[in-house]
Amino acid sequence: MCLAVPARIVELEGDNAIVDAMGNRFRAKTTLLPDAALGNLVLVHAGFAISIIDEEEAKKTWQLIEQIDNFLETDKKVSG
Amino acid sequence: MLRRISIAHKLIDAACEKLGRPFNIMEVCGTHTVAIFRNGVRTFIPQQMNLISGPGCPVCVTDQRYIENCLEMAQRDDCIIATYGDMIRVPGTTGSLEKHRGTNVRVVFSAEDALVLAKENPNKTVILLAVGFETTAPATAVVVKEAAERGIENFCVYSGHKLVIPAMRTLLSNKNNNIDAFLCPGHVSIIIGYGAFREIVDDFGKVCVVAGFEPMQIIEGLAEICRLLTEDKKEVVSIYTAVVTEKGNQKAQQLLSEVFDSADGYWRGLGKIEKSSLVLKPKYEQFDAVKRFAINEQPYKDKSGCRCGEVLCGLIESPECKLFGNACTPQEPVGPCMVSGEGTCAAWYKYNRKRHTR
Repeated sequence: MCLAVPARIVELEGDNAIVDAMGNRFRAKTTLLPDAALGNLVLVHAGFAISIIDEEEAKKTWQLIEQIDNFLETDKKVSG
Repeated sequence: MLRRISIAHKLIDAACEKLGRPFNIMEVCGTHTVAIFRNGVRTFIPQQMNLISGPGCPVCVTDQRYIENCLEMAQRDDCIIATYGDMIRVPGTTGSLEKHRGTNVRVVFSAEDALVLAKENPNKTVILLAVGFETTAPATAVVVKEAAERGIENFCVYSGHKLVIPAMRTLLSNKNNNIDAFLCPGHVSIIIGYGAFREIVDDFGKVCVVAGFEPMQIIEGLAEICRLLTEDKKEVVSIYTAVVTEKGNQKAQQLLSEVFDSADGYWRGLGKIEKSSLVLKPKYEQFDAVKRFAINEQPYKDKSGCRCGEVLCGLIESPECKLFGNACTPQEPVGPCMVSGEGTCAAWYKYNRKRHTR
């Protein structure tokens, strides 16, 4: 369950970022992406940015997330 | 988009006709499994293209011994178990972690949250249940290093991390396997790079295509597999070019090799696989729950009649298990493939049950 969400880095201090995904803001680490910069769109998996992603790709995923009804009522399916 | 779908369809249909035989494509990623079911992909592909769900859901492939050990640790009042949400309802002989939730068990969103818990609870030992494939393991590596650097002693990790490629090799080493191609996991590939699948092509002559998770990616991924099969090209191709590179995330790989060694690991259904799990290096053993709690690692004998193991190897489809939809449902799951939101049985139950209710 390697779910990952595209999000924009809106604050960055060292490798501690605040990211914004579809209006939701949460903490994420950029340790795995040393070149990540403020304003970058990144793919976040389990609280860690794992890849830089472009605007078009991020939009596609956000649209997809909007469409997905909650598959089961398990919380925060993030591991994997 | 409709045009692209129609082109992909035509490619798939033409390829099936040209091949003139049934062929099997295995996906080894829970997110792919769900996306395939949710988008009804199985309903519109030609009959001779057979999609098989493989060992792609990390919670599902986690050996029952690991689950039982977690439940045992959850009884300890001197510890807090920090777990990702998908582990919480996996049943063991004494129930699931759910019953200790909020007290000895806390759901975390990130490995980093487990370190925060350790700082907030200096009198307890926080044990992070580190389950997941290569996508998740680098985060564990980061927090173990951080704990070591900052001297956070009341923190440790119970590593259940697994590696995808050794599992694929094990499936292919079984002479009875009938896999022609793999739809390879997109986010695992961000970390390991699509080049990592070359050994599957070289050693077993199978086609490997890395794809993302939107419907278009999956359909085009299947079309690409068809093209490679009909042209008899044994290759690795990534169509998830937006984020997957040939070499992957090198920083993540470097952290993995700095913190972990690969070791033999037990998988549900697949048994013991050489060098398929990640264990903390001796340098970090003070953060290893296995060392700290002298954890029992002997294989566990399951008596429930659950056939998740066979489902995970693609040997049976979920509805062939007698428990499916009867004794085992998402509300009252017997095996992990029914618990996890991305388990194969849960996907069958949610999207395809009507066709298969007996």
